[in-house]
Amino acid sequence: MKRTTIATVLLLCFMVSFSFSGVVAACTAEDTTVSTYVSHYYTLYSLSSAPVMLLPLIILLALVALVSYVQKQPNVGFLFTAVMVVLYVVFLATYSAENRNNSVYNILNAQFEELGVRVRKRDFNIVMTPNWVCYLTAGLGVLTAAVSVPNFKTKLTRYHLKAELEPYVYIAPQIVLFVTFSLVPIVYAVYAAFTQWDLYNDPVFTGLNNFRTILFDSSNTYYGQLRNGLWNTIKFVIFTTPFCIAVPFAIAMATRQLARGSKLLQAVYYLPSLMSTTTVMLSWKYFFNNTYGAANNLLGSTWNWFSPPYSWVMLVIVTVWWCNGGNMVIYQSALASVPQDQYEAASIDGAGSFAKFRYITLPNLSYPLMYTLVTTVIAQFNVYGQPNLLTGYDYNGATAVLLMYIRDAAFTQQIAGIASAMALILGVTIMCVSFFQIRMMRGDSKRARRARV
Amino acid sequence: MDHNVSKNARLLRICCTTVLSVIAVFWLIPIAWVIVNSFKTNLEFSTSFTNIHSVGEYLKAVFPDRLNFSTYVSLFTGEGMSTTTGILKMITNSVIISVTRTAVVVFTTSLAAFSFERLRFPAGDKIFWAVFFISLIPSSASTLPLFKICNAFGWVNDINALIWPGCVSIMNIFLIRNFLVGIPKELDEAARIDGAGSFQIFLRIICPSIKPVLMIVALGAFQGAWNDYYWPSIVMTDPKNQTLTSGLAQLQNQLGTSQFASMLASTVISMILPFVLYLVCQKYFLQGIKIQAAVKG
Repeated sequence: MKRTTIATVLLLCFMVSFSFSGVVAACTAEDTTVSTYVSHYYTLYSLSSAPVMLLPLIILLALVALVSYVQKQPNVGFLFTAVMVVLYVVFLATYSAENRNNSVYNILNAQFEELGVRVRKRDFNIVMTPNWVCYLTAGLGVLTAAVSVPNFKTKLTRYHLKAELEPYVYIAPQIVLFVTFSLVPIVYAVYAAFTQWDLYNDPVFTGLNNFRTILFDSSNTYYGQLRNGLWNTIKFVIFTTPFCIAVPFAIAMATRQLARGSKLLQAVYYLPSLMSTTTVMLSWKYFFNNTYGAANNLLGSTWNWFSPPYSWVMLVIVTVWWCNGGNMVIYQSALASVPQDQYEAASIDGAGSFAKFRYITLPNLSYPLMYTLVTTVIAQFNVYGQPNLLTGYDYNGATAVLLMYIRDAAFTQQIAGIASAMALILGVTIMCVSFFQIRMMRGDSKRARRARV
Repeated sequence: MDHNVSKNARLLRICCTTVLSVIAVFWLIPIAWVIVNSFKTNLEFSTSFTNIHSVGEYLKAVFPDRLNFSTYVSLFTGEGMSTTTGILKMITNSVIISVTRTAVVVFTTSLAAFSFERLRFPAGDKIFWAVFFISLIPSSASTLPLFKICNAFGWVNDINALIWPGCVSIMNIFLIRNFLVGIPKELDEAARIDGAGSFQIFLRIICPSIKPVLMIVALGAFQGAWNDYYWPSIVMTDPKNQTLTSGLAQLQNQLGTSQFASMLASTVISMILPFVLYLVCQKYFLQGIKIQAAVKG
């Protein structure tokens, strides 16, 4: 058997053993379920001190090491395994079994004391994680590292190692930040989607109940909210995206034609993007207000600009006006990057402006255009501020988008389980849409590369 | 050059100038309205549009009676406000947070994008797309877990809580990757033959050639940090230790709509610094990425 295969198997054993030994006391008897495990893990995770923060990092390192072994890169695998083992030993040293179990006990005890119940340690159905499980885990880690230890004495190994390891070092800062501040909260939020949770107490695992309620129980208010909110969000995406691409693109194209004053005009077109959501929306609302605003008083009308279907027109105009800057600067620098000699060559061949645009400008801008399309769609799916501050829930929620309902459910009504479930559905929708866009984009780029060759 | 072509070009130029200028006027109206009204007093703002019968009266109502700095002055002195807000402290906080975040984001995302796009390691694409798709889940429900994590680090009411969680920026890695595709690999290879390491290539070749994109990322990161008000209002529990945007947002809540002119004044103050940054960055956007010449030369 190859050494990488052995290392892979050993590492898998380590991961299994780790998941038993890690933080949580193994739960015995009737409540040994995944949910109690996860919720205890997070109780501890959220309340205790820094050493617990090492655990997601260890899991991450183990995963990367596993991928390296599977990809037949034992050198990289060795280094990640070694770092992982060191971190695990540090964790064990700073956070002994006694501590682990005591903190679970203390947390639970505090909760029971609030209820006025006096309980003893053995009532919790929690046993201490036996120390030997921790030692076994550490041993497995050391063994994995030992199996894959490369011969560092040769110059070639050192050279390869550097080349293999460098990419991971460069992505490390962003990945570590991502895992700590995005992944862990997101995993918790996804878990919360399967629970009943009021934000203050621990979530109670309820399986697919939330999804059953919001997807199929038509008597429930959240059923209606999800449908209305998701539909309005999709409408918003469909209405705004074309304009959020076309308007900045047209402005970027047009400003390039100017002889002078282009910088000034670009600054003007960028200005709205400098304002924060609150200010933009409130000032638009007041601008069109019957009593204080300048718009209606000029026309002498008492027209309500924020009633459907005009509210949609307002939302689109505000969004395009406000978000123009971000995409515009991307198009500007992409347009400036198009090599001028291509245009000159086309001119000599007698190409008209449209031909130049179609066969030089557009192909050169395909990546920026695709990027902005993907990110604009994602950004518009996450719309919250515009309808919330401009039109709100008026007219039976004609312009109420899903994130408004989600935040309302989570923070006003404190039904965070349902809110997380709705957020998860929104997230999956965004993922599907982006997935197809990116597939298209990569297909295009492959075709383009082949054509160029 | 053909006489016809240059005539067409001039026509196009005149058309573009006219159309862009006309639209720009409309584009500016809401902002001009904000600035003009910030010089009214709060009383003037709420009563100026009563009894309008003629164009003259309308114009008189649009503009303030006289240039009135009282809204600005009261923001700094706290006069007429229910609480004294240290606006200078807020500005200092905002500047520290935004500058640190911008520096960290620009350096780490470009380095990661370079690694993903150019070093082509086996697990690279898998890691990138996994991270990308996970980051698409809306963060509303994960705000509380994030608060708990910051609490565990001892960062509640600490400026660190506003810096580090905001440095995660997968979309910017995606942006830089997309621009890196256009930069010919010949440049890297030539430098590698000359004995440059990967980091040298990144610093000496990639960074200079994608400077406009880095400026886009920097401007976006700065604005994101500057305009973020939801997260600071949660994690900075001490009202004296706020950032400018969230502090002013809380102030606006206190003031209510009766003091709308003060709110507009605070908006104008918070727009100044990002606008200066935009003006600094602007010339880089217009430079574009000039790499073709380098390959040929």
